Amino acid sequence: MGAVRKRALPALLLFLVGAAARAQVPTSNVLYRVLRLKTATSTGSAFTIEVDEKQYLITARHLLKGFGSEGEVELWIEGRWTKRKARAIYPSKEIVDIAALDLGGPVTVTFPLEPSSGGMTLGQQVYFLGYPYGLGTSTSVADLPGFGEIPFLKSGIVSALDDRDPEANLLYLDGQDNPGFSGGPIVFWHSGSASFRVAGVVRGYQNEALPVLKKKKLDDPEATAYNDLYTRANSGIVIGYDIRHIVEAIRANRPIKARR
Amino acid sequence: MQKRSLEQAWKVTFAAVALIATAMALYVQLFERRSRQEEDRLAAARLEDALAESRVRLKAEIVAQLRAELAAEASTKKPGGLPLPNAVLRRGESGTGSSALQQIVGPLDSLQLRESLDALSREMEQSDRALRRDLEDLRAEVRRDLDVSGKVMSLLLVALIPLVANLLFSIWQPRRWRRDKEGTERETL
Repeated sequence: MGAVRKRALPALLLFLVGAAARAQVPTSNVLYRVLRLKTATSTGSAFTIEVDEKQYLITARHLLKGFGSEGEVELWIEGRWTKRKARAIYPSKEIVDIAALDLGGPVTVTFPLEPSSGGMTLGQQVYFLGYPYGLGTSTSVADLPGFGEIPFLKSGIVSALDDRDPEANLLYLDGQDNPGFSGGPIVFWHSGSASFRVAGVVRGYQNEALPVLKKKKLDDPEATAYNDLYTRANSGIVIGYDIRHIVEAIRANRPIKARR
Repeated sequence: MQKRSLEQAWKVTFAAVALIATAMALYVQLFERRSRQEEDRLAAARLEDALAESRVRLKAEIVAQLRAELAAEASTKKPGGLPLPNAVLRRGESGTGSSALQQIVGPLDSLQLRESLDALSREMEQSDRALRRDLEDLRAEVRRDLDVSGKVMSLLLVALIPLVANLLFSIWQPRRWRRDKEGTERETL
């Protein structure tokens, strides 16, 4: 009797875990946090995280060119652009292409999503989300109040992690990024906690200079660029920065404010 | 004279004890064995019943759990409502009607649940078969032990009965001799 239970219950657990393993696609905890962002100079992607129980909108720093420390941004919510006042927080090192916007309150769901690259494995599959060319899932979840638009999901693997500069850790993914993903989250499945984590923020992709050739020289590997002309191509390497830089910046920013 | 009567008393006592032990051994050998076999049969039947009951209960529990998961899944498929945590977004299986994405909570869909249930049933059947095999092995071992102890008891009885007979004879024989001797003496007088 006991033996039957002993054998059946692990079998049940095994099947549940097995089924769960098959279903590791980004969940609402990730999807509902991503928003389209428009600033005075750019349009791109952003997402929310909670740091010390307060929600911040995270995006790429280069989208906030000329924004300064305070200003107005627009978010695509419920099918229209909504203006929100924001206070910007930047990492100490300018090269780190991440920024946080304090909007004064939550703008998305606050379902669990840990901002950490801890446990990410080299070669692991990751997803990056955003709105390439302003595109997203047009048939959104029906009637969800306060919801934006389901973002584009793209996937790749973690190709390299460059942590030579402790204040500017880079993530390199093997994936096909497009304009518009900037500021979107890079998420991975953390098996230890059985949940998704945000590892970083999409900066962009590595450009590749391709020489312009005459048609007859296409098969010649030694051929040089015609009239020194080159075209810019996507190398298929996605570049992102580790999320911890902005988490540290937010935490560093809060005590200063408290002291004032 | 007194010494002889004391010796006789001891012999009678030993003979009585030996007789009682023999009778008890015979009883155990003839009747207790049958009742033990009956007990074994009843215990096996009880175990089989308990096993079947447990199997039914376990199946019912698992089926109920899986049904609850299915029901929960069905309830989350309703459009509208609030955003749900840990939900994946999926189009309906039919592909007709509304093309809106549905929030699916939990990693299992009905097909996966059915597959899980089938696999679990197979696993349980295998487990039952293994358990029955173990039970049969156990019964066979108990039977072998009983046979061995029965044979030992039979051999002991075979040894004990002649001993008791010999003891009884040794008590009865001196009395007869004494009576014969007294009769001869009376005839001589």
